[in-house]
Amino acid sequence: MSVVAPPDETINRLRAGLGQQADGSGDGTITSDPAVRAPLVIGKSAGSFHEVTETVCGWAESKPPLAWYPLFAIASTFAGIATLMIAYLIVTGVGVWGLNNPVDWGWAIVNFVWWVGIGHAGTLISAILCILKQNWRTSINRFAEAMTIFAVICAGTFPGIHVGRVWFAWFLFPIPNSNGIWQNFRSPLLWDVFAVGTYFTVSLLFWYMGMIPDFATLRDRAIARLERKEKFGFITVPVGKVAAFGYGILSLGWRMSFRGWWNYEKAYILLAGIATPLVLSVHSVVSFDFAVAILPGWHTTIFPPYFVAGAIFSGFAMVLTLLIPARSMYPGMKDFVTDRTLENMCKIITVTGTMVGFAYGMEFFIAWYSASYYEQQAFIIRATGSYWWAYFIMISCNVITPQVFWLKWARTTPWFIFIISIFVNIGMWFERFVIVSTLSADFMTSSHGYYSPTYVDVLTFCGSLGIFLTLFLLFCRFFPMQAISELKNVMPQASPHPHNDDHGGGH
Amino acid sequence: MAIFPKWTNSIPAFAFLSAAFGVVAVVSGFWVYATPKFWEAGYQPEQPISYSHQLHAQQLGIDCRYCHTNVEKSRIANVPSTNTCMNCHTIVDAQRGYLKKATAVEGESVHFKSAALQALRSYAASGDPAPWKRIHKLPDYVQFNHAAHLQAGVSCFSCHGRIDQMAIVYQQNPLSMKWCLDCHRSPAHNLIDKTQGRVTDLAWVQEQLNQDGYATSSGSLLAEKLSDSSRGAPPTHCSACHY
Repeated sequence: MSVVAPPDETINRLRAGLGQQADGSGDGTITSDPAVRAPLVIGKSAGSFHEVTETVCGWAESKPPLAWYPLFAIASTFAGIATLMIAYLIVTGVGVWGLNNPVDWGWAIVNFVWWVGIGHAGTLISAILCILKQNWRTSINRFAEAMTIFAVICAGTFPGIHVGRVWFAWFLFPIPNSNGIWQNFRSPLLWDVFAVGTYFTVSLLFWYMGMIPDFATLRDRAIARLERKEKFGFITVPVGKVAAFGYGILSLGWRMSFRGWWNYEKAYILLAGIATPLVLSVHSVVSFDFAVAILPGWHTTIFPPYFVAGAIFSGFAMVLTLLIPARSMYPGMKDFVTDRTLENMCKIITVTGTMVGFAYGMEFFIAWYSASYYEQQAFIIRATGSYWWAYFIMISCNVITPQVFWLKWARTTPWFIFIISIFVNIGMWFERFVIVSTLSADFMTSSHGYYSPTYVDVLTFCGSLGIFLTLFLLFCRFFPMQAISELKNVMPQASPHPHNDDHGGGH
Repeated sequence: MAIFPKWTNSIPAFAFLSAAFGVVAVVSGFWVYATPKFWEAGYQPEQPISYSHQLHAQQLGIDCRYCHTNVEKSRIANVPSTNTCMNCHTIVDAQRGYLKKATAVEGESVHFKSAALQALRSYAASGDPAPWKRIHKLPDYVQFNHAAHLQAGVSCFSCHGRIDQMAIVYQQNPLSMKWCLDCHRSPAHNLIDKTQGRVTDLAWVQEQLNQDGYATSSGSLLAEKLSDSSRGAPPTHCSACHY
């Protein structure tokens, strides 16, 4: 009970950036008193609405931070490698991957599930946390939604190319054809097409619609600086006009009118409502790809909730992996993405990581309780067989690592959170690998095999990370990284009851 | 200030309409042109010997099985070797005296001078098979069994049409998978009473099948009989044809 100052005064102090912890660390948003609500916008940006606009638009309008250039060079190189590998695969056939007869699904499905799972955090943050009025989400939702879109793009690549003859990929969709055959609607692989397709469409609409007012702000600011020109070598580019034209198209004629905002708010909450069930349904359907098969180790009812928890777990880790460096790279981003925001995300990681750990335990329990010899054998082989190391990495990264966030220091130290988030990403990739490599040991010992990836597998996966990061860096460069109007909404200045704490929290 | 001139307001409407037209054009284009019905049916290559089914099968009344001997016993309805042709043509030539005084009567007879027969004679004499061009082609991964279809009471007519009326043979049907499945799913349109022994009598078969309500009366009786037999109804699972 060290807080002596009354809440209002504390908030004012914190808003001015004065509320550091006793030892001088942190930005002052980590409060030990649960009665004190930490401000969501601090520092210089907390001064006025104009400062928020200046900070957010400044990122898109000025040159990117120095680290952006090498990162973009590396990322786009890997994206290029992925393109080459995919071209090689299409020209040659899926034999260039390490698939073999017991293990017919290799890294392609591992990567697919991993990427789709990562996308889930974006939808959870933008839809469920929006409906639950968790205002701390405002500073990360645009970021997380962008991550969702790019992750689903990476995810969708793998099922698209793994069919071998990609020119028949249209067979995935129910299109009347001269073969007189129709998709097998009892197959979860078909449900997957629709689940992921719906997910991508809704996420894209949600993300884009949210950005329209911010694009309009960027457009209006670009018009104010229309004559700006920049020299790239010999070419002089009228950047002012290009920006005004580009943002002008993207903002779809938004005029900041009252009627526009009214429709916007309605559409936003509707899309949040539509996206909410998707958080649970998409990865459930992805888990059916495995759970509906009658293979020991796959045929379990725990898969849907366990996959969803794992998806949110890995998605939050990926948001942190991107957010923490971006927060240090871009000036003023720490005003929105406070230590408190990171701490909240760490708590979600611990919760979902524990749920995933519980699921791992439950799988073993059910394998024993089912009295099914093959089920038991599958799990014993999973943990002690030829892939014991993958199982070990999965358990240590997914179950043990996130427990460090019980320590306050761990969940309030950004560089440490960053390292843990990487571990979680690795662990969740290995979770999918462990599930898929269960194929190597099915019913008959004589048909057991071993799977190892080829260089094409490895480079395609690294390349998908490159595609993801390339798209993400382009997003950071040209798009509004924070939802300007939403940030303004959660500032004390937006409160209709300033300086009055009796009306339920003020904001 | 405005970045976009006023006329750009019409772009969304224009884009929407063009997209709508584009979609309709692409879909209907595919519907019509990207089909075996368009690309496969009607294939009529020039053959090394301009043999006329119309002459031999219809006018002279030779049964299909005289040349395509294995059709009832084998997967493949074999194309005859030139020996089969010469079974008759040796006699025809002998009767007309071509064998003895070939050079003497040259120029006398249309039959002798016929380019088709000249070609036949030279293939038969050389012992090389005539390089017939295959017309009815299926992909490598599809198995089609002539014998099974004939045994079930599906006539040549159902797939090949009135071959006996074709001077030069062409592919009449698309032979697409949907076309096969349409019949496998409701075969009553194409089953004939094989106890009549007239499976290869194409004119009679056509007359039978074209009777009003054939599929619902005789056809459905035959289909029922077929599904009761040990052979069963025509299969529609993948490995019926892809094995």
